[in-house]
Amino acid sequence: MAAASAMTAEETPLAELAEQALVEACLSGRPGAFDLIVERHRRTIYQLCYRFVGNHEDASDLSQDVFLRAFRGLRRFRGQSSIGTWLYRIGVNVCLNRVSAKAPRVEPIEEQHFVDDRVESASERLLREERGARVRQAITQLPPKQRAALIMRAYQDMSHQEIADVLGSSVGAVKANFFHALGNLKRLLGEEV
Amino acid sequence: MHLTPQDLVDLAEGTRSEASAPHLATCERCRREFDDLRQMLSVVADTEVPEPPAVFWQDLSANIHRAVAAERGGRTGAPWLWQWRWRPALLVPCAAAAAIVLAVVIAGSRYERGHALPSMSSPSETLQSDSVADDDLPMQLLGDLTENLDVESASEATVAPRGGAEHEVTHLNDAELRELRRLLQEAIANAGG
Repeated sequence: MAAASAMTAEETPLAELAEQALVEACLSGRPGAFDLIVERHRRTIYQLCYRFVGNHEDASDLSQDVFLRAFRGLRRFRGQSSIGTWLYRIGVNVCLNRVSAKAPRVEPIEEQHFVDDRVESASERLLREERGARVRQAITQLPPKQRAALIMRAYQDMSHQEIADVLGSSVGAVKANFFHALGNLKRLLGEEV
Repeated sequence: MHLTPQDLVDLAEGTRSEASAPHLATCERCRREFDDLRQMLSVVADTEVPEPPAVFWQDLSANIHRAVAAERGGRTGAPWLWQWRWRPALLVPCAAAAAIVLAVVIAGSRYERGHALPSMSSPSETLQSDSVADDDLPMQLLGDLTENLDVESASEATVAPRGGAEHEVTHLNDAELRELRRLLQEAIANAGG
């Protein structure tokens, strides 16, 4: 009975595959396997990239770069972390390389589109959006490692140890970068906060 | 002895209790830094990434899909030609369609070269048709393709999907034509037994 009902990995719908099996499906060229990984993680990766560079166009380019690099490096994925964590690490490295090489181009506030269903007045929403845009802009002015530590801790809720692993540094150094990032942000934002 | 950045981060994030740092209650400088950290953590947490339009996600996935497909293919030129290797069942009707298209194109070009429309000034003048070169690949290919073509295959070809194959066949260079001929001969031989 069990044998009759058991499906091979090739027959199992992609959405039901465990992560390692999904990676193996990608490596074997099964159509749609990598597309599914992209669909599941594209928003997180895009948001990571956006926080690093502060504009939609660069964030979009970086996101594509992240997934292409992930595809090339699929054979090295060992399942020691989740696919999401693995992709996020690739994303951080891609973003760090970009911000180290190129000054960020930040979108004017009026070009940033918002979809929010919070119950608030139009003026409150505008004020919040403007402040958010200034905070994002200030983040893009931080030195790369401070920026990375801040983004990973504040928005991905990664532990200091995980951040240290990604950045190749110590927990103490990560906390120091995080501390200085917040201090620099306060100086950049000044009286706005 | 003032609190270190690492101490202040742990206290501000709540991973360490304030009671564990009695210095905090007595030092104005450390207290101010602690308060600033808590404030900036709140400001940063309240900052969201602008949500792009829904169509962006589809475009992002599509772009990544194309990049990955190009990475997998790794070939330039006429990638559609290589896909025919995996669809032998389509080769015979496509071969028939290709033969008919070639016949029309070649016959048309021969007609234009061999027969001039009567001119108003010299109605009796005609142009000599060019002789067919021994190494005329399109004619050789046409001959090869139609050698084993029966009526049924020709009939199927008339209802074969139009569009890509016809256009591609009439825009192939010599090397591609030779490869097409080889593939079609192979497929016809396998199909005919």
